[in-house]
Amino acid sequence: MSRLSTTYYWLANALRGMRAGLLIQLASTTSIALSLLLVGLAALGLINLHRLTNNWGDGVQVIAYVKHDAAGGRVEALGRLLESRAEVQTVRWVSPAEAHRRLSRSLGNRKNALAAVEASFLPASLEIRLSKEQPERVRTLIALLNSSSLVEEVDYMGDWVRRLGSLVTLLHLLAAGLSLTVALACLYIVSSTIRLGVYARREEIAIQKLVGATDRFIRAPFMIEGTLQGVLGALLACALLYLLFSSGAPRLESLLTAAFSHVELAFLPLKLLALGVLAAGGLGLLGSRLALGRYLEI
Amino acid sequence: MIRLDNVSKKYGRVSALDGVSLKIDKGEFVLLSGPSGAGKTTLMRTLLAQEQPDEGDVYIKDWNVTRLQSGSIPYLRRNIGVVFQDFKLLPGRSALGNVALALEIRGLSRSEVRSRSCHALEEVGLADRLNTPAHKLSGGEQQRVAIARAVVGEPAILLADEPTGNLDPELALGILDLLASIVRKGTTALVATHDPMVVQSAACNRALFMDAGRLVADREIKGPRRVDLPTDLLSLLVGDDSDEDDEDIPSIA
Repeated sequence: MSRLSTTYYWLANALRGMRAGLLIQLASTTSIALSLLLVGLAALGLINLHRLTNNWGDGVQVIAYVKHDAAGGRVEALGRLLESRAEVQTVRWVSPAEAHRRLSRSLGNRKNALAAVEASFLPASLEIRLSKEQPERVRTLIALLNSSSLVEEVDYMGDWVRRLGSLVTLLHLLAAGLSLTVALACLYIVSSTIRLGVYARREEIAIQKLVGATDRFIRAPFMIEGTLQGVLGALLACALLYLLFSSGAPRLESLLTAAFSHVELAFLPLKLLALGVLAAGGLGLLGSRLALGRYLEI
Repeated sequence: MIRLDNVSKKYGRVSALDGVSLKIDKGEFVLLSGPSGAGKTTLMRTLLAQEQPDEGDVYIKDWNVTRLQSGSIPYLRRNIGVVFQDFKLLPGRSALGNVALALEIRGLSRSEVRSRSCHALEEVGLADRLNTPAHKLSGGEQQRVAIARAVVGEPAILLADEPTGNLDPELALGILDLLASIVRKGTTALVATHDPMVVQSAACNRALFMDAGRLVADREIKGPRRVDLPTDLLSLLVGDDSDEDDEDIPSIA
């Protein structure tokens, strides 16, 4: 027995089968690609939302803008006082010059709009990173800051982070539901295509059986075909997703930057893409196996 | 080589095989004759494990076909070459590709598959038609390709179900000669036919006659060619060929 010859035969037979039903294969691979594209878009959205909330959640959660006339020594004392509190992890003083630099950076290409604004125009601020162990004491902290004669205004981002966290959870659920639906759709598409292939090659299969082919020998090319459909569909989905991302991301980035702060969207990591392609191949394999289990009795 | 012990098979109320017992030794060339619906095809299907008898046992070499696990059936079939009336070739494949099919399933190397397939096609006189697509070959050539496919794996047994049914008498005689030459090399052959011309012309050494699922005659034939059929058997073959009760009986493939 030559395993290499058998594998070559299976592969050649799978490719021959795919070529014979080229239109059906194209339709099926495109359907798989479009279905997987939906999952890819959901994953892309989730990953970027995660990045956004992580940045906000792990970053500065309370900003206390200091009055222009507040004396440096008193502001420093306020900082020390805040740092001594259990709910506070760190306190950082941001000068008007640094605030100007940051705003300029976040405006990206539109930073020229700040040319006429003096650095001292922006207020200094205390950026407070909260401790995760004491969330219930945050309200007291906010009240304390609001009551201070040194503080002009307090921004608390916790509510935003919480809302975004809920959105992420909801999106997680939606993505899981979508993935399951798409997985079932892919199984259906692959098994239908394989069934058509089995039907088209029923005479060949019948002859193979009569001359002594084992079920494994007959099944293998169809299973390779199903796996290839899944893999090709996933690769096509990756390409489409990248095209959509590279054409849509800059526009979305500028919209988000205008609305929030400087936002950089990220594409799906290569490992995740590879995992997706593998999973799609696995779905193709499973779909073909399911189809063969029921339709190979010729 | 082949043995049937009291084998019966019914399709609904139709008795396709009715207590058939027979034994065929190694190297015999046996004709299985009888009118349509006599049970010849069912017997062939039973030998190929395509059909499970209701009663009795079927033995091929050391295999008890009736007790085979489904996973072992392919390995049984590798010991049996099969030829059909309608050739059962894949039209998209060349003559060589069709013959190679029987070896590809065994996982032989590509070079061995090619050389053995070429040799088999040479043996049946088609050395110059290796790459011709099956659908472009004449009926006689297609049947020769089918025979080459049946014997390329060097099976111990050759089963042929009406192998000359689609051929004119001259081509039919050529196919029968080819089958006889294969038997001379040591293969055991069982050829089913309802054609009296085949029965009278084939260089077989034995003829079995079936009617209504029963084995009604078993004649040893001595000397080359021409079986002088007794009137009763001849009338059995040339009599009413139609069989209304035959609808439920499946064909061999």
